[in-house]
Amino acid sequence: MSTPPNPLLALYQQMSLTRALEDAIRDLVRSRQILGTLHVGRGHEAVTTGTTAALARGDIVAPGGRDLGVLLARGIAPRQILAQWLRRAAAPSGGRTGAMHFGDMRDALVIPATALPTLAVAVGTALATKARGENRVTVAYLEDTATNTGDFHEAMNLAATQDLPVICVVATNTYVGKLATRPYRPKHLADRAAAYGIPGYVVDGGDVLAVREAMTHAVALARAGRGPVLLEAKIFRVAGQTEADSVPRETLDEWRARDPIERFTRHLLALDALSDALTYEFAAATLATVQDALAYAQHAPAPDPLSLMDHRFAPDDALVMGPPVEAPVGMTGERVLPWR
Amino acid sequence: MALNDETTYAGAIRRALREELARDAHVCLIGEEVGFGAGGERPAYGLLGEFGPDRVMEVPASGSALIGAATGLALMGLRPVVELPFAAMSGESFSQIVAAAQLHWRTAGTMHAPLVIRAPYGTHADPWRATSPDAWFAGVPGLRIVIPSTPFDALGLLKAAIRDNNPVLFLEGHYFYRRLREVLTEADVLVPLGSAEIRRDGEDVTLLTWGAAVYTAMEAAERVAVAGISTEVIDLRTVLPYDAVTVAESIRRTGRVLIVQDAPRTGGIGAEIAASIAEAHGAELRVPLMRVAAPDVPFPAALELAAAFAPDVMRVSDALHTIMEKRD
Repeated sequence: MSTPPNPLLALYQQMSLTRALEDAIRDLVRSRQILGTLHVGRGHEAVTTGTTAALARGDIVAPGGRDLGVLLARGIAPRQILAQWLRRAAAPSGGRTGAMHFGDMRDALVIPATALPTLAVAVGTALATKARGENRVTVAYLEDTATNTGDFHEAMNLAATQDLPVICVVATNTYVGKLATRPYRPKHLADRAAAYGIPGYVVDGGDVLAVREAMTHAVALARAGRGPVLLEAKIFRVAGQTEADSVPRETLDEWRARDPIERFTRHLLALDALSDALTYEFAAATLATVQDALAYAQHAPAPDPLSLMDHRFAPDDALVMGPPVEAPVGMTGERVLPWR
Repeated sequence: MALNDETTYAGAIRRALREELARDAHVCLIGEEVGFGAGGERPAYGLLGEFGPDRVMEVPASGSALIGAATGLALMGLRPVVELPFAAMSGESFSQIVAAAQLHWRTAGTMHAPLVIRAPYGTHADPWRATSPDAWFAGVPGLRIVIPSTPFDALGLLKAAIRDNNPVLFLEGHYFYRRLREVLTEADVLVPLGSAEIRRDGEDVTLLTWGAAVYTAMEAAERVAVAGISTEVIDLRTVLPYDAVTVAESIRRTGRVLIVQDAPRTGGIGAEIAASIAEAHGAELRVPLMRVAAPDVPFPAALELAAAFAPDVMRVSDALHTIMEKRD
């Protein structure tokens, strides 16, 4: 699929592909072709698309389990994503991990660890860029309840005390588990920023342009050396916590009226940036991409059981009595970030 | 350095850190007491002034964020050495350490996390600070656990750990910091990870141990030598994964195994080694293997209680006599 010249349409296309690809994963879960469940990201599309649109190529991202859009923005191919969900040998992990667990520093992409916020690891990548004098920011994606963990507090405190260029994007949807609960006291999680002496902002996470604008501001602050920023995006996830949850009909109807893709479509139609014919053309292209990925992944071979014991330890090539090693190359060097 | 200069255990660690910081610009230190806050006793003392804040990062100590941040530094191509204030704090870091240890495998070799977690154990302050967490991590794939028992090994193993491409949990005997002294060569010293050292040659029984228990074992071996028992003392140095080759070679000669561990018996490092030996060398053992370990209680603060806790020379020599009296 080629990228349309209008940048607004590129946003539209990425949101649509994110939704369509996740729907394909959902169908694989429902037809039991995938073991386990899907942590639904339906309704997160404006957050992943809007934030990544405000980043430069060398900026580092640490997405979570619902951030398929961030993976797509980093060039992870739909074929790779479905191969990973189906635990195929061709997946980057060779079937060793499922879900949205992709990581490759050539894409400045940090892999999530299940149920462990990657914020602390993101703080480490920001420490490295700061120590080297590189003008890069790191973005960690969390969901609202991750801010209740000790890990979140430790990492935010470390980032704040060291003035690190970290943007913590929190996607707030209080719908956790099977019932709407109150997992925290503050009305806005952005208020938690005050505890670390850093700025916290709230943005409408269903409005991709508002997200992009807020993120551009946050990135500018971080790049200027002003330290971390907490950006809370309020969203309506158009499904339960996992694919297994049931949601009351009236709640779903309310969420659907605020669907970020439908909102953006209405906006683009009003601007005349999108027509019915163009919508149809994009939908057909998106469908073709997803079907190609599905066909590829479903026919890809399963991992060889003998591969289980590979890569237990990284090779010991460093244990040599070598000469002094040169200083690390900065972000301009292709050695550090050879873009795929 | 004059030849008659002795280096302490803490000094050997400091020398390893200094040499590797100087050798490789990717090496960096991160921790609470690695900078100006480091007292003269702490191994990282003085390194901040020498290498600057971009190489020696003094940050607030919090167990999980420290290891997470070190993983992030490692992903960016640096080789961080984290210092935990005391080893039991690794409990707070547990998930991050397991995640770092899994990283290479779960990305099918795409990523790796070359980080060293330095953690002192064995202070007599309280049971928590004294605890050695080796057994907590004994079942974590992808992790190496190193426990040096001499200044030379502390120097050579730490340098090797920094050059290794995997996460290494480096457990330092806090009790050793100023008490152990040794004349060290000025040459570049590397002790390969996963290599045991035969501290004393023997023919009758293989005694497997590590850390502070090495000294108890050596004294017990000398004592029973008077009675004609020839004990081979092997200091494992790396307890995960341990040097099964050296151990196997010794067992084939002696046919008798005694494991001495100054940590609680249940689920300890010694339990796994005993099980592995029983599986691999059951037919070669002339008598059933034995363990001398601390009882299943926390490490006590009072010296009188500590003496009752850790295996002493009497208990180890009794065990050596017992294992020799058992019929072949």
